[in-house]
Amino acid sequence: MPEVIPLAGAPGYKLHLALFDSVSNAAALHAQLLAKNPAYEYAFIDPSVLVSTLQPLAAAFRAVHDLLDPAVGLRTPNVHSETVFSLSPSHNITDSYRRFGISPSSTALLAIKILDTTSPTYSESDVLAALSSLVDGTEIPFTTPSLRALTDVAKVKKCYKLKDMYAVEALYARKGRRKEEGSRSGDMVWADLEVAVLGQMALRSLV
Amino acid sequence: MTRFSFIRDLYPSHSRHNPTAQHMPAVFPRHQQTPFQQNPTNESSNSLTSYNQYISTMPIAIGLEGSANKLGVGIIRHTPSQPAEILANIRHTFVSPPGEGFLPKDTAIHHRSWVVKLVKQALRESGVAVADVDCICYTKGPGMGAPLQSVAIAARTLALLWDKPLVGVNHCVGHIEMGREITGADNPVVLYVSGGNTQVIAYADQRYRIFGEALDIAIGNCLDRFARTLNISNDPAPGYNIEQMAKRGKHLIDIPYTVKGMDCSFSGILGFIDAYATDMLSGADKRDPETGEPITPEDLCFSLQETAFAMLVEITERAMAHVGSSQVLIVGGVGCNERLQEMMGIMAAERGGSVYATDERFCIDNGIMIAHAGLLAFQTGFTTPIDESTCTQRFRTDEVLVKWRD
Amino acid sequence: MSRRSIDGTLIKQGAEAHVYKSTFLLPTVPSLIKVRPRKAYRHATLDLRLTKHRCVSEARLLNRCRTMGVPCPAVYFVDERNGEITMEWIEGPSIRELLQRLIDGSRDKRSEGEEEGEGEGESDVLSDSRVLDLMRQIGETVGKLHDIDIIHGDLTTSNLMLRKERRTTLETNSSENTETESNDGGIELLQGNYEVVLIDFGLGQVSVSDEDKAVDLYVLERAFISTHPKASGLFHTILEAYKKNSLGSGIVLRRLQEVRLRGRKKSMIG
Repeated sequence: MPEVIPLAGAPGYKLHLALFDSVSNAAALHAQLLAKNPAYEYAFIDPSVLVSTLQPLAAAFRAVHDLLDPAVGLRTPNVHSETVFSLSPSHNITDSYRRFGISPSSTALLAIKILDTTSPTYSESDVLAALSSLVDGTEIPFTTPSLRALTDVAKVKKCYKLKDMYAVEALYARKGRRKEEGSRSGDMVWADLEVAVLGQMALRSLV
Repeated sequence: MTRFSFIRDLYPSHSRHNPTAQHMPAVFPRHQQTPFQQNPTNESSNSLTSYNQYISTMPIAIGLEGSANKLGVGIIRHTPSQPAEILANIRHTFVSPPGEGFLPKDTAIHHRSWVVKLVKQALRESGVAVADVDCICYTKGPGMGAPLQSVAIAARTLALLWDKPLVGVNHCVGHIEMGREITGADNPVVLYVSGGNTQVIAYADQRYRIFGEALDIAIGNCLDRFARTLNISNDPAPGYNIEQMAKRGKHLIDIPYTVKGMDCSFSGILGFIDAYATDMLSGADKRDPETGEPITPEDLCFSLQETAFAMLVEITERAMAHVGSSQVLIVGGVGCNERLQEMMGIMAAERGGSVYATDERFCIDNGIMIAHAGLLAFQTGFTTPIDESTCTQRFRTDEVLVKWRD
Repeated sequence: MSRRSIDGTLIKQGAEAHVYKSTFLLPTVPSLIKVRPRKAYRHATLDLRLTKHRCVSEARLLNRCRTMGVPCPAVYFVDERNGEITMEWIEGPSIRELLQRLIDGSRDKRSEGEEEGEGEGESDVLSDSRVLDLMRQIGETVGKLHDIDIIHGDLTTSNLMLRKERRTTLETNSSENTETESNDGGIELLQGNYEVVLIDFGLGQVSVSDEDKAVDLYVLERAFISTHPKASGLFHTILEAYKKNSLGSGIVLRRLQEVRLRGRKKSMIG
C-alpha cells in the first residue's frame, strides 16, 4: 500500500512513498546508500524528525524545484539525496544526512522515490513493487497521526533550532506576567510545531 | 554704489509705456470668462482691433524667481480656455567653480546685480507695458534665505514703484502649475525633484498633498554634492554633466537603496558613493567583480542614477497605486534628466498611463512658473499685502490653499 | 528571463506585489502566494537584488513572528530569485471589513427602527463589549510584535485579520469552521475564540528603537481614524491594551505623543 502523490507545481513528477516501522535491515540499506548503489537511490528519512506528511512533501518539492530551475540546481548528487538535504534548516550537507537520513540502527523509516512519470520507461507498478520489497519491516499508513506517533519532539526542536518557539510567552513569564495556561491544546502545539518546521526549511536557501 | 541703487532704473518712465492701455482689474476666474469670439455685445467692425481690445483686458503677471542659484523673470498672460501665453521667460544662473557649491551670500549678490537687467529685458521681449501688468508675483519660499530676500525686495520695490498688487508664490506650487499648464496633464501624481526638494504629491481637496518625500537630503542636492566630490563641472549644471557621463557608464555597483513606504532617503547613498569615489581617486583599485574591468567615474554616475532614480520611480508608483492615478508629472530641475523620464515612462506604461515632463525652460527654476501660479491665485482674489510680503526658507507645498482648482 | 506562471487566482494587484490564492502541495492546503514582479524600469541587476532582498526579509520576519508566538501567516516556501513567497492562507475578514460591516449593519438596524425614535444604533454596536474585546486583542497583538522587536511598517486595519479557528494539521480540513460567517453585521464572529492575525510584512523590519515602535503605532492610529472615522473613539481601547500588555509600552507611548505633535511633517528647504 505505498502511496503515489503527484507533486503540485512540478507537472509530471510524482512521489512514491511508504512508511515503515519495525525495520530490521536499516544497516544494509545504509550501507547501500554509502556505496552509491543506483538500485538504492531513494530518499530514506528518519521519521522521528517528521511532524506531518506535509514536511517530507515540502522537502521533495524543494528538491524538484531546484532541479528544474537552471539558475539554482542541485547541491547534492541527486533529487533523493537533495530531498533529505532539503529537510535541513542549514547548508551543511553531511550534517543533514546524519540528522534527517537513516542510520544503521534505525527501526522506522520513510522511503521516497521521486520520478518524472512522463518518461517512457516509467511504470508505476514496478516502482511500487520495488518500494515494498526494499525494506524489511511493517508498512504503516503515511498519515500525520502515524508520523506523530514516531516523532521525537525534543529532537525536532533541536534539529530545527526552535528554542525561540513561544518566545513572547517566555518573555512575559520572565517578567512575572501570568501565563495563558490551558489556552493552547496539544493539537495546537503540534500545528505550531509543524509550521515552525516548514518555515525553517523554507528559509534554508536564503543566504 | 549702494545695494538699492537699482531702484532708479525701474521708474515707469524708463520702460515702454502705452498711455492708451487701460489697466483692467481682472479678477474673473480663469476659464470662466466669455471668450471674445462669443461675445454678443461685440460691435466692432474690425475683428483684429476688437481682438486686441479683448486681449488687452486679459490679466498679465510678471514673476520673479530666485530661491536658489537661478534668477528668473517671466511674463505671462492668461486667456480663458486657451493655453497661457508666455510673453517672456528669461533666466541668469550663478555658476560656481567645480568642486564648489553656491553660497547664499554670493548667490544673493548675483541676483541683486542681475534683477534689474532681467526685468527690463523681459519687459522689452514681451512688448508689455508696465501699465498692462496686473500683479507682481515673487517666490515666497521655500529656498535659500539670502537669495529669496533679495528677490522679494526687488518684487516689493516694483510693486511700490508701479503701484501693483503683490502675490507671494510657493515655489513648489509654481513648478506643479507650470508643469500642468505646459503638458496638459489634468490630475497627475507629481514627482517634484530639485536641488532642495524631493516630494511625491497628489491633489486632493484644494491642497497639493505630500504623499512621500526624501527624509533627509534632496535628490538634486545628492547629485550636486556627488559632482563636487568627483570634480565634475557645475556648468551648465552638475546634474546635466552627471547625466552625460552616466550614458558612458556600464558597470552597476551596489549602492544603498533606501525606500520606506512612500518616503526615501539619499544620505546613505551620498555617504557611500562619496567614500567610494574618494577611495578611487586616491588610487584604490576598484573593479567590477564579474568582468574584472576597472570602475570608472562614468560607472559611478551610472550607478548613482540607476539606483537613486529607481527609488524615485518606486515611491511614485506607490503613490499612484494609492490614489488610483495613472498619470505622472515630473517637475523640478532633476526632472530634465532623460533617464529619469525614461524610467518613469516605463513604469507609467505598465500601469496603463503615461509620463508628462517638460524641458529645461520649465523644469529648471524659472520666473514664468511664479508668474503663472501667482496669476492663478490672483484671479481668485488673492494678493499679498506689502507688510506681509516676507519670504521664508521653509514653506510646505500643502500649506497653500489651491482655490483655483475644484 | 521568462517567469514561471503562477498556479492560482489573482486576488490583489498592488504597486509592489501580486497576490494569488493557491494550494500548497496538496489540494486540501490553501495557500497565498505573494509575488514581487520584475520591474522593467530598473536595471536588471538592481531589480534582482531588491526582489531577493525584500522577499528574504519578509519571509524572515514572518517566520520569526510566527515561531515566537505572534499570529501571522506561516511561511511554506520561498523562491527568492523569482520573488515569490508561498504562505499560509488566513481564512477570515480583515478588521477593516469587519468594522465596516458592524457600522453598516447597525446603521441599517437604526433606520429600520427609526419610527421608534431611537437614534443611537452606531454607538450601541461600537460600545459592545465584544467589539471592545477585539480592540484589546489588537492592542495585545501589536504589543507582542513590538516586544520581539519587530516593526510592521504598514499597520492598517486592512493588514489585521480575524481568524476564528486554526487547523491542527495543515493537510486535513479537520476544523468545522469553514464559512460560518453570518450576514448579520458580523458581531457573531466575535463570539468565542478567535485571534487577530498580522499580515503583509513587506515594509517590516527588526528594530529595538522606541521611536520606530511609536511611529508604527502612529501609522496605525492615522489609518484607523481615517478609515473608520465613526469608530475612531475605539482607538484608545487599542492603546490601553497595548499599554497594559506590552513590556516597553511606557516609553513607546511617550514617544507616540512626540510623534503625534511632530506629525510626519518636515519642513523642506527649497
